[in-house]
Amino acid sequence: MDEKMTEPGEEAPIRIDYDNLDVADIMDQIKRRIAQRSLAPAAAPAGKEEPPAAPPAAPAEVKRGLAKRTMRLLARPFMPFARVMLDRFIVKANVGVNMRIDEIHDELGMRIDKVYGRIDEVYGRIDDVSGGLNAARENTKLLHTLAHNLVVELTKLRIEFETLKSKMRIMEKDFEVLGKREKALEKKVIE
Amino acid sequence: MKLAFVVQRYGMEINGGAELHCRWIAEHMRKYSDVEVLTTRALDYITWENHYPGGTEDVNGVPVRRFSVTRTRSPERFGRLQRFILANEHWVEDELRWIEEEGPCAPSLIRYISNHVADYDYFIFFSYRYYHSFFGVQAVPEKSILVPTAEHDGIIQLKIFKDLFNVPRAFIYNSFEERRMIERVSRNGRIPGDTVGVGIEVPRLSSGERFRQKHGIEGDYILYIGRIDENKGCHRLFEYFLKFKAETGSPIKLILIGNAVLKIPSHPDLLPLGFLSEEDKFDALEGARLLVMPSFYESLSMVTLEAWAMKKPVLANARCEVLKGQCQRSNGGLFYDDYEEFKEGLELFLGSEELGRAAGRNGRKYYEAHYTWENIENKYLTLIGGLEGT
Repeated sequence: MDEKMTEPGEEAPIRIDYDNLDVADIMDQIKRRIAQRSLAPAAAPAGKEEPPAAPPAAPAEVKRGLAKRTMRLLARPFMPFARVMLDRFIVKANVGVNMRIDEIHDELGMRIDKVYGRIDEVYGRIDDVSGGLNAARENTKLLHTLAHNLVVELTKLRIEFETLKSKMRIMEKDFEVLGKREKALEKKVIE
Repeated sequence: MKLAFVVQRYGMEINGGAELHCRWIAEHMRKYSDVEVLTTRALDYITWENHYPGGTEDVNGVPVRRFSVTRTRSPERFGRLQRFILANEHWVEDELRWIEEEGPCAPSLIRYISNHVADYDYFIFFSYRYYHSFFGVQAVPEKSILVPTAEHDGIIQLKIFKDLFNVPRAFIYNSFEERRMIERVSRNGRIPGDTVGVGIEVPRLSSGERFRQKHGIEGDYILYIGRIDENKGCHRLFEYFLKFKAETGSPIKLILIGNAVLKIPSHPDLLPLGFLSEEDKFDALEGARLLVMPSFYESLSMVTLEAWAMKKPVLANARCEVLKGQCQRSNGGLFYDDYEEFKEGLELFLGSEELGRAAGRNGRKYYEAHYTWENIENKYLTLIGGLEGT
């Protein structure tokens, strides 16, 4: 089914076949329409400003001022063109400088990158070294704890040893007493 | 068969780009083979800072093995180096430095791949431009399948990538334009490959009315979904949309769904809603007149496919060859090169609901022909099956 999308003015209508949609064709039509629009005559330029009437006779300074103003008024229509020319001149004059600035910028960027790379390496080494230091610190701590525990254990053993020694002495004495009692009992049994 | 999917980041929190693409494919391929994901501990795609714990975890039924990033990325330093290599004559060493800066630098991931070649049948690498693919593909060339997700930017012209594209066993491309671009750059036409992309699932029930009520939206609106970023062309979209409003006086609104990393101009008809749930996203699509896709660089636009799956037309940036090609092949959307074309295209869609319906119908047909999960799974299986025989 063909359908016409009519537009105001003289713009080409966009034809769309909804049953067999072809977006490439629609875009071609849109492009043609835009191209047509850009070819249409531009709006009439705004009316030019009338130059003011010649000034009455005046002293020399006033005359110079008037001459300047008149020159400026006469130059006004050419100002946009002059500005464009001036811009171009400035751009051209600065091209070399800008290129050099770009080069320096890039070079500096690369050097900064290298410095950053070095800093990364140094950080990496610091990480390695500090990793080693941390490990050593941890080991020292462990050894310290171990030594402390050993001292505590040895002390405990010493105390236990002393206790056992005292117990042994008591048992020896008990044994002696028991021996004496045994002998005494033997005597009584024999008697 | 055991497949390893290798990607720069992986997790349920990552909801776009190659990472989501990889997650969806891994989850679907689980039906046919043992699947494992090899990735880094990073979540932030700018600095690649370690976020997830190392080791193995289960993400949505897929085992994921994470490796530490040893060097975070400095955006300033990286930007400076990238500008330099894109604008100046340089050495391959500079490009190698660029890839290390690009990251995510995870040497233990590459070591793992090298030491466990025999444990997997194929390694499927996502995104050519990152460290894991560049070094990973070279570690296992005979078993590597590369999903480049390449965009039409200057990076693809780097010498190191011309060489890289000649290394893998096979390619899985996202679009015909991407394939053409990579073949033109690297002359790797002899390497087998297929244009596959990713499958799209749409909810059975979605309601534009529910979306309007929930967010207090009245009147017609067009929709943008994605990160609100200069790289995605959003600055130009705002400029064009506000100019369109000023020139035509149209009451249309532009709704933005996604996280903003760009300042959004203040205007009553520019409505940023931030990041929304999947349900809200599809509700928003259901109620929209069209989806606008202003991105300059895409290897495959998943939201464009989602819009077509929902029978919605698309107005896309023609400067992105992939989007333009998809619009032309599907006849599901118009595309613009500049403001005048944007204006004409938008006016056509807003002026004729029939055009929107016809383009939406075409988009849906295109989706059904190429982007259902059945299609995607079959293409993966066919490609891998073909490699087994060679």
